[in-house]
Amino acid sequence: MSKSVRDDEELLIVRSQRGEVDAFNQLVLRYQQTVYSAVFRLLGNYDVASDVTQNTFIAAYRSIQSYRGSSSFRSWLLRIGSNMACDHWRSVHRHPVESLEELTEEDEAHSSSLLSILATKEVESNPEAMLLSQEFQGVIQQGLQQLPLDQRVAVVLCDIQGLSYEEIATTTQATLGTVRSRIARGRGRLRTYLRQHQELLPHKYRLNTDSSL
Amino acid sequence: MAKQERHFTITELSAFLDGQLSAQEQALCEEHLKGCEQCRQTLAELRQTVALLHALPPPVLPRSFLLSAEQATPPAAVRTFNEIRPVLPLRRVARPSYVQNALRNLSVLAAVIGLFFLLSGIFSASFTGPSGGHSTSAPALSFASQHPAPTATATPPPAAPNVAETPTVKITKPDANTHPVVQPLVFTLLQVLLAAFDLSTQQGRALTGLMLLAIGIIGFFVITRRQRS
Repeated sequence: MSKSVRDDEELLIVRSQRGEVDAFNQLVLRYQQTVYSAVFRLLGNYDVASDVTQNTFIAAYRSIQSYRGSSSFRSWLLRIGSNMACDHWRSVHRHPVESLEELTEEDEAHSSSLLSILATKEVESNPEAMLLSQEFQGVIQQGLQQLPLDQRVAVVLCDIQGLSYEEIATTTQATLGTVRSRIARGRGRLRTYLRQHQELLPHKYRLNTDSSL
Repeated sequence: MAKQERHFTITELSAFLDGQLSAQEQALCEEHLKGCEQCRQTLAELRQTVALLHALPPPVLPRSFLLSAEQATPPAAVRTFNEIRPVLPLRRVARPSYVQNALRNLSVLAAVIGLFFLLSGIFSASFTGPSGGHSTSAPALSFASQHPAPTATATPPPAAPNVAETPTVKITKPDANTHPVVQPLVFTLLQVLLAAFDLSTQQGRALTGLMLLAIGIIGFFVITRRQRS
């Protein structure tokens, strides 16, 4: 981000703190994609993510007085967004053990049917394509949703949003050590999950043994 | 070159991937990876996993999340309260449950007392009134509503001289030059008011009752409506 853009953002924040909705809406335009992406990756449902994103911006506007600029505005928004997404997830999944079992069974059924659909498709006809098929995006999303909430938040913030370990520690109010271990365990689980579905992966992303350091 | 005996954990390899190990650990890990096929594969798989997550395209925005005027209004109200007194928002939250209920109960109480006064004023008036015992509440009501005005203004004269003289003399003394006219005016007004709401007279009671009843009913409805909204 260039210096002028950052100065511009600071001005918009100050104006929002004075109660100017127009200024805040310019910030919304800048960050709605970021917040929506993160919330969607955490929850996996477009409609729910949409509601949670809207509530995130409302909550951000109401508490913008408390933003002191110690962290980036982006990570401040992501903090509110991920907290609201987690609250929503917990309110829906009040009995985590039961729902996790249900989810796994559902997912297995889902991915095996997916597998049969994709087996007929020429996924490898376009091996250089960076884009993942719609179906495989769904598979990764399912993998993310199988992670425990704290690991999911850490992985989404780190590997999808590109936040630093320090920023994630502030965002999730955890120590650096905890963040490091959550990211690692999340990635580890996801690796196991993806290994089970790697037939669906384009060549480029297969977890093959032949890649060296 | 001492090769590390144990394999690196997922946590260490994941941190290595992000350059989060100390320089010494980082070097040690690199050294180990050169000779360890197993760790190299784990690292490769972790790297692929991260690459996949990076490759996920952002979901298409379903709509714009711009705040509408109404979504933005409440915070503006809170903010102005904040500027005046930081404690107020908290009170605002607590108000519906405690203060408003108390106010509403007080209104009801005022209305009941008012009704009591009104009835006592009307009934004693109808008993002593010229029509005697057979009068219904209708003529009593008309009696009460017709007569307060003349009697209220009629009652002051006997009270006026003795009440007016003593305080006016006492109070006007210090600033007699500044408010010679205003003070007596204020006192006559007060006397009229006092006489109008004099509880020892029937009209006074009826009028006081009517006032309290009106205040109570208005208060009750205003608070109930505010609680609903």
